[in-house]
Amino acid sequence: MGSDEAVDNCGTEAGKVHAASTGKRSPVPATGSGDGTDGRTRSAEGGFAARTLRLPGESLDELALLHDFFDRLGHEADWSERLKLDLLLCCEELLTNTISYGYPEEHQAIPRRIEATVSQETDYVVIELTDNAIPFNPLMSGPPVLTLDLEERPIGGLGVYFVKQIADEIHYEETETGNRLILRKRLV
Amino acid sequence: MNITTMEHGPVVVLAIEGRLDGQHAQTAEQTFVELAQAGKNRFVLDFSRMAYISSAGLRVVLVAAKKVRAMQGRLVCAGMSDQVRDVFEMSGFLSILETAATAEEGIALLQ
Repeated sequence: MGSDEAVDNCGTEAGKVHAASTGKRSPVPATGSGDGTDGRTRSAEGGFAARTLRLPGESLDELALLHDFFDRLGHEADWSERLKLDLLLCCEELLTNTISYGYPEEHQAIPRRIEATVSQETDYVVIELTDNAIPFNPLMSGPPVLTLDLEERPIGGLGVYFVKQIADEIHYEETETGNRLILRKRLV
Repeated sequence: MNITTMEHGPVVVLAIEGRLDGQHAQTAEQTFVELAQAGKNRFVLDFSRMAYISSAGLRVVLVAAKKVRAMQGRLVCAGMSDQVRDVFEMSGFLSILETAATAEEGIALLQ
């Protein structure tokens, strides 16, 4: 953990900002969300107001709350099942890291504060994850080696890679009290 | 998540229903480990009713595949949904694991 490497400093006083456009593996197929015109019209009419889920950050059992949250949002916003699962995967990978490693013995924030705020713009779903965990920039993790044989494949190291593959844009910011990560995923 | 264990001759089919994620990975791994400790080394993981997998779930599959390989056995992943297949593909697992379209095909491969 830790973000001791250099990051792009965009000059804000609040903290270091690092933004990345991710290289996508392939266009996401437009499944089940209606045609583009419908989607644009619907979201242009307002999408939905930002909704926030607060997690106690004590146990991975809280992932069930994340799934319930996205089930409700997906239903209201008429997301395709696939879009919902992709967004859930991004959130699970990042929140699992925060819950599991963000609060080591020397950083006992009381109470823990982990929030996921989801909103919808014209063409994007925007997810903002904030916490009061130790500073950690997941964008600094290198890519996993995906070509090793079964015996040599390390256990783990894939979660952040999935997020980078799925999200269209990722911004990381170290805040005064923790971390803020903003994901943008294009509505298809 | 719910796991059903079925034996077809020497082949054990583990049907995983629901989400194989960070919340449930440990339970799934424990189920596999107990079967491996009982000497089972031919497995079909039936994902046809599994809606979602994350890296925590993939980790269990990798642990199981490594263990089975060490036991000179075989493991087949069957019935992947689109989301599950894409996660396997992103991770490069499709090229190091055996797959089958259905559990029945997986069983046939191992008998």
